[in-house]
Amino acid sequence: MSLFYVASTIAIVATFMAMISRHAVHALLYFVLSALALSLVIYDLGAPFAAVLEVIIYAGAIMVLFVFVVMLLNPSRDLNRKSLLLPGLLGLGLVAELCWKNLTPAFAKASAGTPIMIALFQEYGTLVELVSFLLLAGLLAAYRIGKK
Amino acid sequence: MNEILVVSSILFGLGAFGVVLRRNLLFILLGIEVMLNAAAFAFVGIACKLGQVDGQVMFLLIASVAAAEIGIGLALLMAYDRIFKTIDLG
Repeated sequence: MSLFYVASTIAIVATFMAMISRHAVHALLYFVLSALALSLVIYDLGAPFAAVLEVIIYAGAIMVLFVFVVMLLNPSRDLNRKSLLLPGLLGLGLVAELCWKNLTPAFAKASAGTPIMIALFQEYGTLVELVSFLLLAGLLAAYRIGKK
Repeated sequence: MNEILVVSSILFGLGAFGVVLRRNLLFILLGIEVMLNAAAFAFVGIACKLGQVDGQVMFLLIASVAAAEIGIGLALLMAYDRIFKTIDLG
């Protein structure tokens, strides 16, 4: 249970810093950290599928989009060493926690993904199809808006 | 179960704080992401405590909506920047 408290504290602190930081790149760095911490919390609660989705979609896809836009808008701002200190410390805390928890034998048992897959493709099959249509519509709309 | 809802509410409040108080379009979109993330976390956490898998299905739905929304939002932000030469509001 202590992993829950430490990781969610890291998530809250990182989100707060993301919301109050001046530079967009710093905010994005803190938001990646917040997504990773939240993913650890979700994994600890026993939902490995959602934890993987959190890392892939939030810390991966969405943040890459944000970083692209920030780099397109003002490419001159770069990170200095001092502003990396707090995110580095928080991320190190996350890694240490993951290592410590991973050595505990009961941790690996919760990783069965089969019930979720059955639910996704039997009960919620229509939902998955509609989500794919939603993503296609989003892609087309972004293309249409981005065109000159 | 209470602590999950407390963490989720704090994250949602921080996102709402960012949306309301920041004057930068990029931070407003980031705040919306934080709020969606907090809501999805509440779904997953409560479903895990109740021993169901439906929360993770809902997480997939919310993450897809967030991805589609941020794609369109960032495209609009680029168009706004092209027209007004800034992404600060007001």
